[in-house]
Amino acid sequence: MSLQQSTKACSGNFVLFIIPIIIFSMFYTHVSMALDEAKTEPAWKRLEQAVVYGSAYQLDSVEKADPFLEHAFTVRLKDLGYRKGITFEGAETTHEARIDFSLPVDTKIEDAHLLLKYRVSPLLNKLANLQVSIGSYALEQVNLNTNGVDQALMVEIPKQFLQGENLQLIIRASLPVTDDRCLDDRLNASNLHITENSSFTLHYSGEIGSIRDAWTLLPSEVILSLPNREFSPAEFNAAWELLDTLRRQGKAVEVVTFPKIGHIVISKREELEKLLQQELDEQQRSTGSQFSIGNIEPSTLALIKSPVRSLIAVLDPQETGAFGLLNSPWRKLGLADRYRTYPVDYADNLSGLGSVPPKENALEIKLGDLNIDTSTRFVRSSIKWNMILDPFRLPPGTRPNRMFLNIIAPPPPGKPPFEFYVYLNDIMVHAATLENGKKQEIAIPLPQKYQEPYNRIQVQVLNIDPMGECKEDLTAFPVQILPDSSLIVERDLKTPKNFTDLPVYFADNFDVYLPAEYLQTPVESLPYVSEVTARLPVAFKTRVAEIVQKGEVVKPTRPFIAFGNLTFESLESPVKFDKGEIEVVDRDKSPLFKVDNLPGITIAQIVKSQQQYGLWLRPAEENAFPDISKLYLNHDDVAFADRTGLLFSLNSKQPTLATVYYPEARDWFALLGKYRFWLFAIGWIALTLIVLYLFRRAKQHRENLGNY
Amino acid sequence: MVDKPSGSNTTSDPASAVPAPPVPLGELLIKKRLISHQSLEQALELQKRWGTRLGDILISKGWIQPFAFYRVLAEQFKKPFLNLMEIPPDTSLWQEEELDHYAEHLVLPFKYANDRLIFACADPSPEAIAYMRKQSKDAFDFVITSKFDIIWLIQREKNDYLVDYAVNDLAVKQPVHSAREVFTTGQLFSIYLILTLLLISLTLWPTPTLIGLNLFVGLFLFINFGLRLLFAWVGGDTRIDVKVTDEEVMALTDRELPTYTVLVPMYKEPEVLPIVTAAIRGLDYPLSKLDIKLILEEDDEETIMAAKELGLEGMFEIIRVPDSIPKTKPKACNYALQFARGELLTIYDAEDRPEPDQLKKAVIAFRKAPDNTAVIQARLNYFNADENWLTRMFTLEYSLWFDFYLPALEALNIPIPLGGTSNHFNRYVLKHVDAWDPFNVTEDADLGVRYTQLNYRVGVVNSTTYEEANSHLGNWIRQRSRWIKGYMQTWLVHMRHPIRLYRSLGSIAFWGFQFFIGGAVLSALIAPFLYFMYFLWLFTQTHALDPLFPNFVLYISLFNLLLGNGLLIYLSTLSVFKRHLHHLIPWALTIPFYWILISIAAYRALWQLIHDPFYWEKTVHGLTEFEHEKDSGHPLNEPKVEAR
Repeated sequence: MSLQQSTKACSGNFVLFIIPIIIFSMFYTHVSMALDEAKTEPAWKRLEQAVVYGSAYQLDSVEKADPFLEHAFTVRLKDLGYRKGITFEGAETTHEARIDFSLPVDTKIEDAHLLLKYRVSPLLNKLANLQVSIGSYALEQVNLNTNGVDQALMVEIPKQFLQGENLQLIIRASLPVTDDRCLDDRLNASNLHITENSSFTLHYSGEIGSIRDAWTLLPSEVILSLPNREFSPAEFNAAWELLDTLRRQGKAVEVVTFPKIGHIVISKREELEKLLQQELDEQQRSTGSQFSIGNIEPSTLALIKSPVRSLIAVLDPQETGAFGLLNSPWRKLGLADRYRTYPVDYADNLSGLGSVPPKENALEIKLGDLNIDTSTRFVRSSIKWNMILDPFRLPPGTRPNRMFLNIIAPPPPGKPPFEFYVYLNDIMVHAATLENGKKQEIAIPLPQKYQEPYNRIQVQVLNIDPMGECKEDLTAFPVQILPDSSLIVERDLKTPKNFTDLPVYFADNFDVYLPAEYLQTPVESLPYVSEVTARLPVAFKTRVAEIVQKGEVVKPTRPFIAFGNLTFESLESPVKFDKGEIEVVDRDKSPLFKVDNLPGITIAQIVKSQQQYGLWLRPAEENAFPDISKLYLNHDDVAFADRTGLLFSLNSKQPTLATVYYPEARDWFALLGKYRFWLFAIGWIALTLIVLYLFRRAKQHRENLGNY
Repeated sequence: MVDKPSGSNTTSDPASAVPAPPVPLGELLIKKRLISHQSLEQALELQKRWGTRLGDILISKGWIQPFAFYRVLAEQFKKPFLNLMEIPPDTSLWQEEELDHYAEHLVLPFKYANDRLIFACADPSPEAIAYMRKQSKDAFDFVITSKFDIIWLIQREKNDYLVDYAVNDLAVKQPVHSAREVFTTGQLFSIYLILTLLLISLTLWPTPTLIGLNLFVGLFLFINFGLRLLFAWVGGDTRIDVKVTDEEVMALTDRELPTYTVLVPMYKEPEVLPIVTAAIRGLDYPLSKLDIKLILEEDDEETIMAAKELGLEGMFEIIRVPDSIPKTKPKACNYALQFARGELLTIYDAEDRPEPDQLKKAVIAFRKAPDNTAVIQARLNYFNADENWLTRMFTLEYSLWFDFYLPALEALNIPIPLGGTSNHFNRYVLKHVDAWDPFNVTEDADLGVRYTQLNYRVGVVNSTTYEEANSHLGNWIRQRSRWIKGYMQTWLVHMRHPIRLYRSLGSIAFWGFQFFIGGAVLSALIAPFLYFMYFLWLFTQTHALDPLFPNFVLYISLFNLLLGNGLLIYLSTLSVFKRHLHHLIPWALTIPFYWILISIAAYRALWQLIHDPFYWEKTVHGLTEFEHEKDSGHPLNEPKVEAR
């Protein structure tokens, strides 16, 4: 290397290293100052100051604001279902994602912004870019030629777009690495990951205008406050309904007791008035007169506004509230600040797709009705459709049976046809060749043995011979899964053999049994019950629990879900609790684990009582409510779960690996063993008598025949 | 009464004992107007073909009354005719051990007169003359009497001896082969010892012992299934299956056929008497060479009267078996055997419908078989297979048994449990082995094993006798429990000295006997326990039985349950192919229910073995509707088994 070349190289290094250091130092100083000021600023203010508008900078953490206290609402991508964020991969010209955000309609929105946090490959070239737009209106575009560390982009949303119920933001990215598309595909360097903590934030002024807006503005982690006393069954049912509704919306719910006040309160009117008055007094914001909510009918869902805060209250609940309606097309009815709730039958059906006519076994559902993308897509080398079959969106009592995909894929002239693959929960269930440019109907079986409660279906179209010049864009061909493609669901109300059969078995109707003790400690029991029922893909018509008093025997008359330590009439259960210690052992009787050694465990099993089958969840410890937040039921009929999720499951009908064993129980075999010496004596005497008898009979026969 | 013909003489010269008849018998009969010219011509024509005596032909055809014939015969021989019922002979001249020969040659010592022994003879054939000469050792003479007088007189005068012979001959001469003693002391002691050891083992090592028992049962069934597959495999081989072809039957001339004794034991079955006699008349065999014994119990007046009223031809003889214990079919056959005259002998049940050429096929089969062949078993099947579920199951079972298993047993030289009917014996060998065991209720199965032990061969022939399948459940249970009880007796008799049995049979035949005879009983007895365990597990999903089924036992048991039972069902479906009864194939799927009935019968048999071992459960025949419907057509019109 010559001196000149060395100097040039050093100069290049100087530019590469020194300039970013200077920029970073300036940024660090700015951020440090902002953080110092943040101690007295609302959280959303601190967040906004941490990011320079329209530029990409590093950001380590973001605090969230409480929308009911600070006039700001933030929703993260993970709250919208993007649990792992959004990832763009490949050197194709443009990647695109469309994200919908709900907006309050009765509240004055001051401003809103999108905070995108992302990470890109450090190898992207100078033309790599990220664009945010609303429809054809480009809001922001930044270069992605960065050093590969975490980045953030804040995009302010113009006010004219903050109207209506929804806002759809489109994120597009181009991810070239070199000027050679063919090389790009081989480099595996074209990727952009938008993290799940990317968020949309809006600020409003004044008060929340309606109960539907309050519902929209609920944060992702909702706090539910309950009075610290025993609940009535109606209160429990209302709280349970609310919890399930929120959880099925994807929100985390923390249940607290008075005097802590959350976003939602379930109590008597007087209790809430007293609580809010107490808060006003503490903050010295009392008006001098007693705080009053006013006259509100029992079982009313109300938006309560005090000088300190807004909150949603369910007052004097006597009926199970129809909170689910606030997620449905009926949501528009919640335009006032009160919403009288009534018992609702088939609440879930209103948001679903109807039911299978009684005399029919199958129903056809268009994919468009399942919110599955049926727009035209373009394939260069490969393209995928990912579909989730949400059991809550299917008619009750049905399960997917097959799909008919109508697809059009014009083949490139003179090139091999496209390949077509379908995966059900990552298992390939169909492969075909798309022969021509005409509409093709492809029947795809969805075998029951591969199904799960939530079924993931991935459709892939593969161009095995991509066309185009490497220096230019690869030729893209349109492919479309047509909207008249359909899913066939079938009614299958058979006896449940494993957990996955339960949603179908519970389709028509079922009961829920709870011990009366659960009403005494709703703060603990409600999350426990709701954790199960909210995740269980069954269609509740209404959440009304049958409360079982101590000593009472449960006599089910239809399918059921039961919690706690209950006594059933003529129970048949894989795991029995009246035989002492419970062990799960392998085929050689070697213990896999002892239930008593796992105090935080819950045992879920399919049981039978009075010819009715049900799901029974019983904590191993009496009066305990272990955290079972990750209990996903599968193809077995017994499950052991704790706060870490499903520990172990087994199928008692086919105990190929493990069985339940009761070391303290004496079965008939052990009983015989205990008295075996006595049994030997009896057996031997009996044997002797029998042989003597035979001998005597033989002798008699001989004597009788003596004359012949 | 003695009719003295003119010119009668007696002589000590054997040559002169049979003087040339001055007038041919036929002419004499015409002269006395006892037969027509036409009958005589037909009889003479038959005589050329059959090679038998004219008198036998006329009597067998029923063209002349036997009593009249014998009178004329006496006249022709210029001998007095003697009615032995009126002038009894001097029985002190009789030798009891010669009674069967008297019956065979139709000769009886009558009295001493003029220093010579006078015989009463119904058929002065050269063989009879030679026998009289041998018996007299000196000068002798004879008078003519009727065949029936001789037979009835022997029965009347020597009843006690005959009964004693029928009941005790085997027990006296070969006590080790007699089922008269159900359990020997040694056997009882062995059972006691084994079960005591088992109890001790169960007490000290309960689980290993139960696993061992379970394993034993599993392996036993496994081998049992395997053997039956082997039998079906071997029995399906056409080279084994076909013995006698139709061409061979066609080539056989009537003259060369031997006299054939047909035993028809009956008890209180007057209604089937016309059917069985018609079936026998329909046999493709010279009637004059048939020696047919209708064996009737003395107290069965009803059937005896029916037989008399039928006015049967002279070839039919009624043998009255005195009432005695045990009242079994083998005892009756033993009794009748003493009157048999045929070189070969067979047994047909009253409801049997043998194929017409069966006797000829048996003759050929004997000629083709090795010299030590003692018996040839024909196949059995049912003419009323489609009557109901029970008869369908019975047909499936019999088809498999006789069309596959028995030929295989013969090929492998394993003792063949004979079928009780349609077994064709060499009479001399039968007598030599002391005939049937009257105390064994499956005397046929026992005899098959005894033959093999004594180094005689048991063969099978491809001719079928159609029987009436039991269509009534209670009747079926009674019949099956008798069979299983007989199998128990047979197994116990031959297992009195297992080592001796092993040496006499050889390893293959010994184990074949264990699994085919003993195994049939054992599997029927243990099946309910296995059913119980299976259904207990199936309906309760209990794990209580898990300790008894470690993996290696479980796999064997599963194999037996699924493949073993499946295999037997499959073999049952296979069995009907030979007989083109394809419509029965779907019914084979229901055969497990039939096995349950067999188990019920097995426990009934076990109970009877202890309490009433020699009781013969009578199977009622004539219950089928089919019999009456198809009676107009001869049973022998049933489809024949085609040679493949």
